[in-house]
Amino acid sequence: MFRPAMVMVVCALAVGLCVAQVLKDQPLPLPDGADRGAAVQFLDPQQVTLPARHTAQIDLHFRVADGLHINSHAPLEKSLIPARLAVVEEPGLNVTAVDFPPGTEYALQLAPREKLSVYTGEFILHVHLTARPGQHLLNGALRYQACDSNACMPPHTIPVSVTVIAQ
Amino acid sequence: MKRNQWVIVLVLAAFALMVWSGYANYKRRKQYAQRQVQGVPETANNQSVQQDVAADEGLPDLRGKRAPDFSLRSVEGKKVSLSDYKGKAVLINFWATWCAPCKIEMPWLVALRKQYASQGFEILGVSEDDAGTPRTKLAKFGQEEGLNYPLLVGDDAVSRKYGGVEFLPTSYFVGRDGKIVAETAGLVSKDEVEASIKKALATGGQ
Repeated sequence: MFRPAMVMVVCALAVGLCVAQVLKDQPLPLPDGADRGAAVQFLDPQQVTLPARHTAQIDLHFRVADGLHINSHAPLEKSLIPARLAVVEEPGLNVTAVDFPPGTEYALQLAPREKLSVYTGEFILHVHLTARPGQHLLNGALRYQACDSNACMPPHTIPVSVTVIAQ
Repeated sequence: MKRNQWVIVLVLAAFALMVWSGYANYKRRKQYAQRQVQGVPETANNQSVQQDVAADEGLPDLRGKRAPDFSLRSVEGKKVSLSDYKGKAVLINFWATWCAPCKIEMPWLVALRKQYASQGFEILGVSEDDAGTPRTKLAKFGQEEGLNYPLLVGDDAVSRKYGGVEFLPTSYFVGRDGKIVAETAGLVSKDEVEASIKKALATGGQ
């Protein structure tokens, strides 16, 4: 009636569905047991090709987890921790500037008049650089501080790494 | 057992797993929806939702337990212990200079301390800023915000005693008998803070 191989495949699919069903909850704000530091994810690019010895731009895409926000690069209060990108210097690769997008105005539910400047959802940093011919590694780290509508998490840093091929 | 029976058992097990995962997902989404409850007038029910939410956010339920004792340095360098406040109602408020919701509740805390200090109420503000943050910076922050209660330089050991303090602000309300009567993670309304203070004050002495 049933072949064992078919049964195994059905079971594997069922288990896979279950795992996917449970894991899809992970982007919920402040989920139980999740990596509470991973409020921001570096999406792409993993690799770029650009003209050598010319100023070029790389767009780094990040995503803030649903229900959370991070301070923009220019918070409206000096005590708040801004989003910052630190880049490791590498021979042959010269980062000249990093452009941050303007923040969006946001207010906590219990203090609607206190405005914050934040990033939510996806945001893009524009990295301006020049590279000598060859393959390089753009290594850096994004430091941010995330909150949801009522609570904040400690500042956190995530690595950013892009292979740059200059031709 | 025959092979067909094994197949039936396996298929049933897979089905049961799917039902369980669906239920688990539903439960989590329901908890999340509860957490989004906003602007609901404060009632006993609402408070219990808030407390459940606190538990859901990683706060261990310390209510009814003796508040773990600690000794920390104040921003002025003075040693301060929780046990110094024996017989008083104490709000242990974990905060940080970079925490926007903490700043929002600070004026409320200042006003509530003024209002209830004569009844034996005190607030201990435990900073969760990086260990390397100079005490002078914390003191300056306290002055700028007009804080009228002791600010203490927190450390990991104390945070661990209180469940790790993963979110700020986090508050524990300690009754006169030294037991925790309420706890909150995240910003809650001033009314809710006041209700918890009253609860702490209402507990009998040791």
